[in-house]
Amino acid sequence: MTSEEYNKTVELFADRLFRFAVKNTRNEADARDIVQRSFEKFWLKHKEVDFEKAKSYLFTTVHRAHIDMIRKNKRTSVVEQVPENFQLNKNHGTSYELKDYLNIALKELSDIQRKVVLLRDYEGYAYKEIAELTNISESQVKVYIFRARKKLHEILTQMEKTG
Amino acid sequence: MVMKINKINYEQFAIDYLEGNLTGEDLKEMKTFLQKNPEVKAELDEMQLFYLEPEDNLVFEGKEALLQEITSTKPKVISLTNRIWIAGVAAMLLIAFCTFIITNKIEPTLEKNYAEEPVQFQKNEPQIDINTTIEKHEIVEENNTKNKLENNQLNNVATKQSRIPTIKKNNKERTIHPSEYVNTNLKKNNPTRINVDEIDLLEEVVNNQPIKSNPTTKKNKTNAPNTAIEKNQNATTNQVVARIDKTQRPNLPEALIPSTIPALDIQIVEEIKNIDQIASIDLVQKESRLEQWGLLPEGSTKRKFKLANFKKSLLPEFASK
Repeated sequence: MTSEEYNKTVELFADRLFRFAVKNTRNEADARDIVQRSFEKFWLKHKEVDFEKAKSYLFTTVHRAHIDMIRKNKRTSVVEQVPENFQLNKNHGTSYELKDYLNIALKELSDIQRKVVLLRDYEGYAYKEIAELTNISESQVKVYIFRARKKLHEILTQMEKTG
Repeated sequence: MVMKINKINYEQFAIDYLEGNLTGEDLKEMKTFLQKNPEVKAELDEMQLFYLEPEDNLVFEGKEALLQEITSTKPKVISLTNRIWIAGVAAMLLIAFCTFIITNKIEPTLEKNYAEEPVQFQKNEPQIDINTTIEKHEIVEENNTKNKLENNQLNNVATKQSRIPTIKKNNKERTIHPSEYVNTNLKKNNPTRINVDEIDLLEEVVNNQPIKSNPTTKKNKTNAPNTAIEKNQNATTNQVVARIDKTQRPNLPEALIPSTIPALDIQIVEEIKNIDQIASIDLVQKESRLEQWGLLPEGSTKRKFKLANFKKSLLPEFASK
């Protein structure tokens, strides 16, 4: 692609990559660093990448950068405890509240579960595309997503019961 | 082939079943599995699917830092007018170049054909057919002490002149009939070059002629150089009469061959050839003819003229030395 098309990818995908990175790293500074380094790598290879494949290339780069960061910091999946005063009010709850609950429940998922769900829900990737981005089989992607959905259901049901 | 669904692998079909994307044999196999496993069916039936929504408030601040300078990769478009101008200039340059090449190609060709290329003879031929190929070259060879001295002097001069090929041949003096080589007009225009070429021509003629020597004649000439008639009568074996037919020498430039041969010269040649048969020959008449050629030394009564004198008459530098 041309340098002009590269700049276009920055406008199109920088925010979406940043969101994806924030949900995975749970840290805006780390997410910003990952996105910035991903675009630097992408610029070095931009002449070899077609514009149509730029999005996949960038999300793959961010995904790998996140894995590298985990290995480097030896981080483990931190399960945040649901706040004691957290409750899901179905009657008065808004979509914003449900989104907030989902974000809290999302943090309890494993890295790979969270990643595939984010790619599915945020970016609308097909299972096959997610498999290519994360370098796992399509069957594994479906299993991870099923388990992630089941986990979200359990968390939200528990919240509802406790609330 | 449809994979059989069981408790181990049902998870990879479950999400498609919940989303309604399972069809065909897979759907049939999944329903069969759920009938056999009601606890799994109950789990899936009560399961609510929650989907995440992107948070628009999360934005990457300062994305301008990620932008790069745009370098145009589009080729420059040359307007039609400029294209016509460029094509015109290119055509003119091409024509000028071709004209230059053609002009410089013709000039050396002419120079090569008429001036630079030396006269080529086929040295492989052992002898020249006197009656056909050589029309009018007379080479008279004598071994004369006095002539040897003159020839040596001439060779010394010729050595100094790099452009003139060596002409010494077994220390024998060669007397040449000059009329074939002397083209008055050419001498005036370019005397040096033409004379040298003609000397080359003469050298070839001499080289291709079997020359016979007669020691007795040498003695006679040394002792009595002024008795020309008697010497010539006894020296027929030393005379080589050659005739060069210009039509059979295509390599010889036309300008180097005398266009007209004086009838008087032909007569002299015939007389010399038949010297044995002619008892009485008018020496005075012959000397007068040689005097017409300008090759008869002053005070000399010799009928024959020498190569040295011939060269002196041809080359101004020889005459000066």
